[in-house]
Order: sequence, then structure tokens, then C-alpha cells
Amino acid sequence: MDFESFRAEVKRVVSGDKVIESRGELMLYSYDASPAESAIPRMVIQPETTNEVSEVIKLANEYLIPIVPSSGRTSLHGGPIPYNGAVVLDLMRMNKVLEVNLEDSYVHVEVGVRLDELNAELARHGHFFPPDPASSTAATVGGSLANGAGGMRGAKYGTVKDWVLGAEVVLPTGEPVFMGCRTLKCRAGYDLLSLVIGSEGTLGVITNAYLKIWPLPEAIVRLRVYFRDVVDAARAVGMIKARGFRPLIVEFLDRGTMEAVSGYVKEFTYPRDSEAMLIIDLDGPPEAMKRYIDSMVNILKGAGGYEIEWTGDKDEMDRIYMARRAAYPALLRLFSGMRVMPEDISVPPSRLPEAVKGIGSIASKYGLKIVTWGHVGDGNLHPNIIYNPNDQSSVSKLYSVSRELGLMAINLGGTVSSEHGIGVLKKDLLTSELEVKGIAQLRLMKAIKRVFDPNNILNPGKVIDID
Amino acid sequence: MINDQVKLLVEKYSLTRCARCNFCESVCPTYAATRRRIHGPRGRIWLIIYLSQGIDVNSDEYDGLLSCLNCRACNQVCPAGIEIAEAIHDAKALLVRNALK
Ligand SMILES: Cc1cc2nc3c(=O)[nH]c(=O)nc-3n(C[C@H](O)[C@H](O)[C@H](O)COP(=O)(O)OP(=O)(O)OC[C@H]3O[C@@H](n4cnc5c(N)ncnc54)[C@H](O)[C@@H]3O)c2cc1C
Ligand code: SF4
Ligand code: SF4
Repeated sequence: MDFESFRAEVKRVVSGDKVIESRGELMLYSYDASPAESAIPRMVIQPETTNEVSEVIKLANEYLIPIVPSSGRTSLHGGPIPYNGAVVLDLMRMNKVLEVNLEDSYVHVEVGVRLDELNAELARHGHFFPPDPASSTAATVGGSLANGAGGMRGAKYGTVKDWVLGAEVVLPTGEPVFMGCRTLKCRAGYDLLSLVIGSEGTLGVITNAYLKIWPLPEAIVRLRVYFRDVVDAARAVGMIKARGFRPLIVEFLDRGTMEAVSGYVKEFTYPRDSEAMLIIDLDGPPEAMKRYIDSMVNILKGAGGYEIEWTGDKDEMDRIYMARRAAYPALLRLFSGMRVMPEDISVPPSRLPEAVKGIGSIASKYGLKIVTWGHVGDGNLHPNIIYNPNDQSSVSKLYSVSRELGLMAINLGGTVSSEHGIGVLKKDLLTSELEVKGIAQLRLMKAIKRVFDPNNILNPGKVIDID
Repeated sequence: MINDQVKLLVEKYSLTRCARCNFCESVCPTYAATRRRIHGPRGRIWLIIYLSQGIDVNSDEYDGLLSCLNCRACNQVCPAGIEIAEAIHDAKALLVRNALK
């Protein structure tokens, strides 16, 4: 590994102002939003074109320099952290919406565009890109495709993998290729694009993508309901689905979340005997709404829901949603000196009651506070673990709790990561999940990594270890 | 000397509460103009923290702090409620005073 020659060659293919080498600025690339150990890169390169990405990666492959793609750096599992003296490829300068094509129902976009920026542009055309991670103000198209991101609208619209038609990808050997198609249907051999989506920057660097877009819903009605028992709230989700409803969102907030929000937002109140709250958005044609609401209210009452409120008025909808929007800030502000680790597991919706109970038992076993909310329409729970970063025993409990939550999800037929990814923090849990589902898959994954990246230079040590 | 003063500033604004969510960077006009993280609020906050830990900043990073417009857009979106603009403003004052000495 001859770094001096690599550096000289890099400066031949990209101009000097796109190469960062000063220590303070490099340190800004040493972390993401997770508790994973930080590491300072040797260099940061900010390419502006696919060609520059390709030239830089060719050099990294030739000089065997590990290289880590990086975008919003909002990851929660250490995916963009440059371990072992890696170089960071910062893709935030590739930030143009290239084409909105309503006839062919796609948007062609560079990867450094943030999801909220993309949706602001699409809204001007009456359309949207449905995957909506809670970090959408800061999360980019590239980071979201690489992380396989999803969000509240997942129950109805799935995650990013369901919304990408094709993408320009620079392989770890430096060749740029176009994977997938621009068309909705695509059977061009093996589906390599699906391998790259969710690969967390280990199989290729995405530089631009053709994303499917959807017309904005004609009308949305928001319902809010409380439950005296979390298990009833979880059961309600199953009943909603069994009755054929596919709500736009079904957000679950446990009592801990409501308590935290009421401590932070004075106007927020909730019935003292309630243990859980659901916020449900129904979308559809305006004339069908009354009928939808009537059946939904019936289902919710049948499941033990009370104080049911619904509205189609924008301000009122915002007021109801405040409980969810304020949840993360409430945790950050109320538990001073502590940190919040948003965990991410999924179980089949029918197993939500057991999962919610299980989270309670794990919290008491380790004596750490866990506040849970989640996009429960698709069985996705975010148990937020509150820990003290300056207390070693609290940090080690954090990892034990994280592990037990993952193992519980596996036991209930779920998965250890729904949308945040594996990074470095969940590699062990991934192995545990594959042990149940067939460990031979780990061998296949390692082989796939070697085929894509024979020199193991692209984001090495993330998702899986190859040796 | 300057490190001690920066340390006080980090404590005053509890900067280490930063959850590194990066929500602030997306509303920052100076980051939008240059796409360099030293010109964004998350970067500036962490440069101040690094300064307090005795890590030197070079002239580019120094400019990164000085170029903050104090528009406070970042404060509005910070889920941790950090007074980002005020912290950067105080850090700028410290740096300039120190340079004049
Ligand atoms: C408060 C908070 C809430 C969150 N909520 C959600 C949520 O609801 N749902 C959800 O899914 N996630 C959530 N996340 C996690 C994270 O924000 C998302 O996964 C996001 O999509 C990552 O995008 P990014 O631009 O920040 O990517 P980064 O963090 O920069 O990178 C993500 C991964 O992709 C790789 N990468 C980045 N760009 C590229 C590229 N162009 N080509 C190839 N590889 C690349 C990186 O190496 C890294 O491994 C949350 C995070 C925070 C802090
Ligand atoms: S106050 Fe400074 S850091 Fe904050 S958004 Fe404005 S320019 Fe950016
Ligand atoms: S918004 Fe606040 S908590 Fe998030 S990165 Fe910026 S300063 Fe840190």
C-alpha cells in the first residue's frame, strides 16, 4: 500500500479543492449517528461526476487502499466509518435532480440529493417518492439506497428497494455500469441491482438512480387512539390488516414515549390510564373516506381502543402528529447526559404483542430505560435504548440489550434489522439470524463480496467479514 | 489557555449533547454553498469540541468557524435543542480575541 503514490495519482484525476487532508476536517468524517467506535480517515475525496468516482476507485483498487462511500452520515450502525486508515468518498457534491418524467413515472437523481429535497421537487409535480426514514431531512438518496432505508409509509409502500428502477453503479474495480432498467419491468439476467441496494456501500458506489415516483394521495385522514394495554394496541394492527386496510402509516407510541413528549411539549396530554397510542393515516379518494373511517373506528373499538379522534384538517393533523414528531427531541432533551440508541427490529405483525412484552422484560433485566415507538403497520419497532456514554457498564448493557432485542426478533420469526442496516454493530446478530435461516447463505454472501470486490477495498469489514 | 476557554464554552452550551443526526447541515446556507463540512453546523460544533480537547485547527477550519452567518436556521431544527449559532458565535469571538493578542 503506497499511499504517497496513491495521493499523487488522486490529485491527477480530481482537482485539489476536492481533496481534504487537514486533520480537523478529516475528524468530521470519523463518526456517524451511532455509538460505533470512531476512526479518522486518511483523506476525503469529494467527486462531482461518475467519471471521477470511477477514476478514484480504480486507483484505490490498484494501490489497495480501503475506500468508504459517505453521504449524510446519519447511519445508526457504523456503516460509513473509515476504519483502518481508509479514504472517504464524500458524495454530497453530486446533488442534482436530473429529470422528472411523469409519463414514464420516474425521477432521475444524483445520489447526494436529500430525500426531503427530492420530495419538495416532486411535490411541485403532484408526485412523491414514498420511502420516508425519520432522518429524511438529512438522509440522501445514495445513503438510503445503500442502507435499504424505509420509514413510516413502509407498510403500504415498502422500502427503497421497491422504488428503484435502475442506477449507475461504480464497481469496486472502478468500472461504471448501469444496473436495472428505466422501465417498470426488467428481466435483464440476474438482478444485480437488488444486491447493491442495501449492501451498505460494500458492493458498489451508486452515483445516480432512476427512482419510481407515485401521485400524491388525493386525501388523507388521520386517526388517533389510545389503549389501556400495549398488547391490545399491537393486536389492533393485526386486525386492521386482516380487515383489508393498508393505512399509509400506523405509528405506535408506548407510555414511555407519551410521558417523555408530555414532559417536553406542555400542550401534549394523554389519558393517565393509557399504555399505548396509535396514529393512523388513511389515504384514498375523498368520497371513500367516511366509509373507511367508520370501519376503522369499529375495528379500533373492538380491539379495546378509546378516545378515538379523527380529522382531515391539516392543522389538526399536525397537532395529532406532534406526539410522534416530538418523541426523538423529547428523549434527547429530557435525559441529560445520556444518549439514545434507536434500535430497529421487525416481527410479523401478528407477533407484535409478544415483541412489545419482550422489550419490557429485556429493559427490566438490564435496568436500562427503553422507550418504544415504531412503524407497526409492517411490524417494525424502534426500541430506543437510553444509556450513559460515560459509564462503561451502561455502554456494555446497551450492547447486551441490543443483542437480546435482535435474538428476540429472530425467535418471533422477524429480523434483526428492518431498515437501519448491519454496519459494524449488527454483524454478530446477522450471523445469528443466518444460523436460523441457513448459514450457507453467509458463505454465499462472502463469495458475492469477493466476486464484486476481489481486493476487498470497498467499505471492508461492514455487513460481513470475508475471512 | 484558549483550550480552557473553549472547554467552558463546550460546557456552557452542553455541546457534547449533539446526537450527530446531521439535521442541522441540511438547512445551513454556508454548507449548501460549499458542501464542505467545516462550513456546516455539525462540523462547526465538532471543531469546537475538538479545539477544547487540544486539537489544533488549521486556517481552513478556522475560516470554517468564522464563515458562520449566525442565521440560526440550524437552531430551529436541532432535536437536542443546542444553541448552535450562539455557541459558534462565542467560539468565533474567542478565536478572534486570541488572534489579536
Ligand atoms: C434520528 C434518526 C432517525 C432515523 N430514522 C430512520 C428511519 O426511520 N428509517 C431508516 O431506514 N433509517 C433511519 N435512520 C438511519 C439513516 O438515517 C438512514 O439509513 C439513511 O437513509 C442513511 O442515509 P445517509 O445519506 O445518511 O447515508 P450514510 O450514513 O452517509 O451512509 C449509509 C451507508 O451507505 C454507504 N453509502 C453512502 N452513500 C453511498 C452511495 N452513494 N453508494 C454506495 N454506498 C453509499 C455508506 O458507506 C454507509 O455504509 C435514522 C437515523 C437517525 C440519526
Ligand atoms: S447559524 Fe451558522 S451554522 Fe447555523 S445554519 Fe446559519 S450559517 Fe449555518
Ligand atoms: S441537529 Fe443538533 S444534534 Fe443533530 S447534528 Fe446538528 S447539532 Fe448535533
